[in-house]
Amino acid sequence: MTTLLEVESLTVEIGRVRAVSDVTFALERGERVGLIGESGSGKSMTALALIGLLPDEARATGRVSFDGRDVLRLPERDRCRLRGNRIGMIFQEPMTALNPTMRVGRQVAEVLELHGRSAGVHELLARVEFRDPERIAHSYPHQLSGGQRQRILCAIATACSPALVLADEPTTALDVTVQAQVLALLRRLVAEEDAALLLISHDLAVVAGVCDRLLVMFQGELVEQGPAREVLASPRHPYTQGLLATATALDGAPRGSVLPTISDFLEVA
Amino acid sequence: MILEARQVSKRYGPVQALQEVSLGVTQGEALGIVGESGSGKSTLARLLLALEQPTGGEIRYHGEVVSGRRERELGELRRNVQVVFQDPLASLDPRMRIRTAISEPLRALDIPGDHRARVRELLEAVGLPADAGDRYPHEFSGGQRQRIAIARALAPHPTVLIADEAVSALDVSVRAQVLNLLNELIAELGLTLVFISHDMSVIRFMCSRVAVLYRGRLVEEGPTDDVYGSPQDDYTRELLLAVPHL
Repeated sequence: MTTLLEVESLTVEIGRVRAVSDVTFALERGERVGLIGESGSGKSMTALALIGLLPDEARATGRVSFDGRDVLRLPERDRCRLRGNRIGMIFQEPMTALNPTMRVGRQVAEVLELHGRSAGVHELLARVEFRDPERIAHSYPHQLSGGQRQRILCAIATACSPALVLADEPTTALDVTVQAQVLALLRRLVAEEDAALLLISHDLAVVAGVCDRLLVMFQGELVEQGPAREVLASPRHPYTQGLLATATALDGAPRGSVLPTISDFLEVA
Repeated sequence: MILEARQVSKRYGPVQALQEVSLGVTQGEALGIVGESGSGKSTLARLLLALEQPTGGEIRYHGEVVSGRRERELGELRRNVQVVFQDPLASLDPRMRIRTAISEPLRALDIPGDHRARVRELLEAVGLPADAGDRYPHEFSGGQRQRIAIARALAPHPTVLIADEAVSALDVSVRAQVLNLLNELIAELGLTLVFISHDMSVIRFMCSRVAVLYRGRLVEEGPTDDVYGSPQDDYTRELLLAVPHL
């Protein structure tokens, strides 16, 4: 395996708030990595830095090297060539990611035209398991279910054979049965494209089912990383221990018993 | 039965949201209603709360039919059956101080007494600092806002609490804190709970009995351990299988 993405000492500050603090990690080609953390842990800011989409008031230092080029210092024009092309993106809320006034077929075609690709829209829709791609292409986003909309985003994200798919809480807004379908689809698509996957979620169980390696963020810092199996079997950082305990607590806890919370673990540390 | 739906149907235009659902909750019980988007679970909650009228069947509160009654004849139900919704940011007025929001049901229901003292009591009960009353919703985290919503629901001393996806928007660790709080309050106040969720593991933890809704119909109902141990309906099995595990 060769390195696709190298993040070195990434720090993101918004005003006086340090959202991401000295984060360093790498992604190999074709690797599936999960980035875990809660609201406010800095995981989404890290993701936005990787694709050069940080808000204007944010200041990023460090280095984010993708294909050997530093995304943080790339002119916007070159970043635009990366996004949607070399890096596919899927966000939590497909209703805001899709244009409500444009038929979805047109939106899939747009990314292909923008990056000079020749794949067919119906083919791409069939690949994300739509049985009647023509009808779907002709639909507006509001005519589709949440799961269908997220499959459209999967089609757009992988339309240009990206080297990296970045998925930020892609299934958080979905029902559990639909979530399982979308995760399986995402896994198949990145395997077919030989793409790396960075799956960002607050849900350890979601990430563990898909990823080989885990990164854990807490209060802007990367507090733990390693093979998924190892991190889950013997988490080292108290925060990861707490996260694991809270994620598994519901399964065996007697009804009405007191559930462990992460603060139980952080106070001990 | 303290609160009961009998053969209840609800139609919105061409959409049959609920179809002949019969379901009730007894004093002190914790009933779970599980189902996915579009299953009709929130519609059922709104009917049980008498926020909407069924298009068929009836809602009974302590054995008396309440569906079809006028608002001012709902007094006792309004006071005794309270609700916590999924998104506290949507259910809290952004320009209203927390104190005013929590005491709002007391004013709306004309409940006499020292409302300020009651707010202090409630803030303490849900684990928020006393000065939280002076602040506004945006100053709180998602978990804290849900505590505020719980405090407001408890303000008029209800006997039944309906929680509609009350922890679904929360991070896993915050969810544990809010569930702990709910269990503590239920035990302390002897509340009857109707807990609505798409999350099978949360339902199992909170409820002794569970009803499964699918496309507006009740497909399975029984003691939680039985339903989870040997689900009788295909959809229940599918729901259980889809839950990701570590």
